[in-house]
Amino acid sequence: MKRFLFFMAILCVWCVSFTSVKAVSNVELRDTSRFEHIISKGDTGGGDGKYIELSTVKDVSTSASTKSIEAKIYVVLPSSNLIREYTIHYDYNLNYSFANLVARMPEFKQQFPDFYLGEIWNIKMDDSGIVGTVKAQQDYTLHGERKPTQPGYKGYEHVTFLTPTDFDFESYHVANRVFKKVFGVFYDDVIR
Amino acid sequence: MLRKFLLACMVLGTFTIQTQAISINELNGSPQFKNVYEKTYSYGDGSSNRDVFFLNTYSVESLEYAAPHYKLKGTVYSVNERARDWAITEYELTATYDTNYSLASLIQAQQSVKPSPAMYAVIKAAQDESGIQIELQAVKRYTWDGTVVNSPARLLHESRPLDRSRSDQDLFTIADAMFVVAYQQHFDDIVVK
Repeated sequence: MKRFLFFMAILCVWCVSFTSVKAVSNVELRDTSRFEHIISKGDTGGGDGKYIELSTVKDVSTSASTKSIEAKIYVVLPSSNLIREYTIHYDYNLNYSFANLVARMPEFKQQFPDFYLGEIWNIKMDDSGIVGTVKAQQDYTLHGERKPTQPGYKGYEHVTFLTPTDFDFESYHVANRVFKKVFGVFYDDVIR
Repeated sequence: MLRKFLLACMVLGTFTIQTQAISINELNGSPQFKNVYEKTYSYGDGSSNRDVFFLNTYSVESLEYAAPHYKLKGTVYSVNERARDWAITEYELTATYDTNYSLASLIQAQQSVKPSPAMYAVIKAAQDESGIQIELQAVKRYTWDGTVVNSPARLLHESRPLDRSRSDQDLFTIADAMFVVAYQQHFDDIVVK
């Protein structure tokens, strides 16, 4: 029994030390060799912002028409003493990139003679072409101490700082920048 | 003589009010009214509301024509279908257009950028500035059968630039419909060279 308790204590210490290594503080996020600040229109200038952890960005695409990326992105809210870590998966449907839709204008016009450019905008409003899915999230204080993650409001669990990635949301631009980070070009500049 | 005059005024007044009032049947049946935008809002309890906007195509008039800037005015009716009551609101809509910000103009400007045109930059530019400003003035309210609603509630008046976002999709579409009525082309298809 004593051995078991001793083993459990060791395990707890190991867990705590492991999680503290993984924790991220506001100071660490300024380390540009590990994190990149995503310039976002949604930033108020009060120290808040979004940071992408460079080592976590992965191209996990499995199809030619849809590119997929996984990454860890941190959202900092100094007024709430909060750093929220998101493990996010993005799917980018290349058929819906703005450049691709513009390139297909003659085809649309031929199919639907009344089709006009504004309808491309409306298509994007209905389906932006990007789907962001939060796979995990964890909250930290600005000093990097773990704190209980606040659950989303009932019925709005899918609404986070990064999702949904609707065309007229700032989260859409964050996803576009993440795409550029991996593929060297904005998602909306890709023509299939 | 005075009595006859007053009676004539009353009769004339009554007819004038009747001809200005608008009902659902007229909006749906008369060719001068075009359904330009509609949206249904569904709720968790299974209920839904629907808003339909009609443009009086005969009312569209040009106030200013100085390409690439245009100014148009028209009469718009919103029909708000609710479970318990329907309401019609008549608006005067004045829209100012700057076709430097039409999608066609923004795309054209980007296509000359070397080494490669950036369509993402078009999105950013269009979201920063839609190119359309509106002044919207509610004029009257009616019930579904065209009876004028006399209510102390203030009639909406707003004057502002439109966003190319979901929240302004209705007004943007209506302003575009006025542009089509006046110039037979969509705002976003105009290219400023």
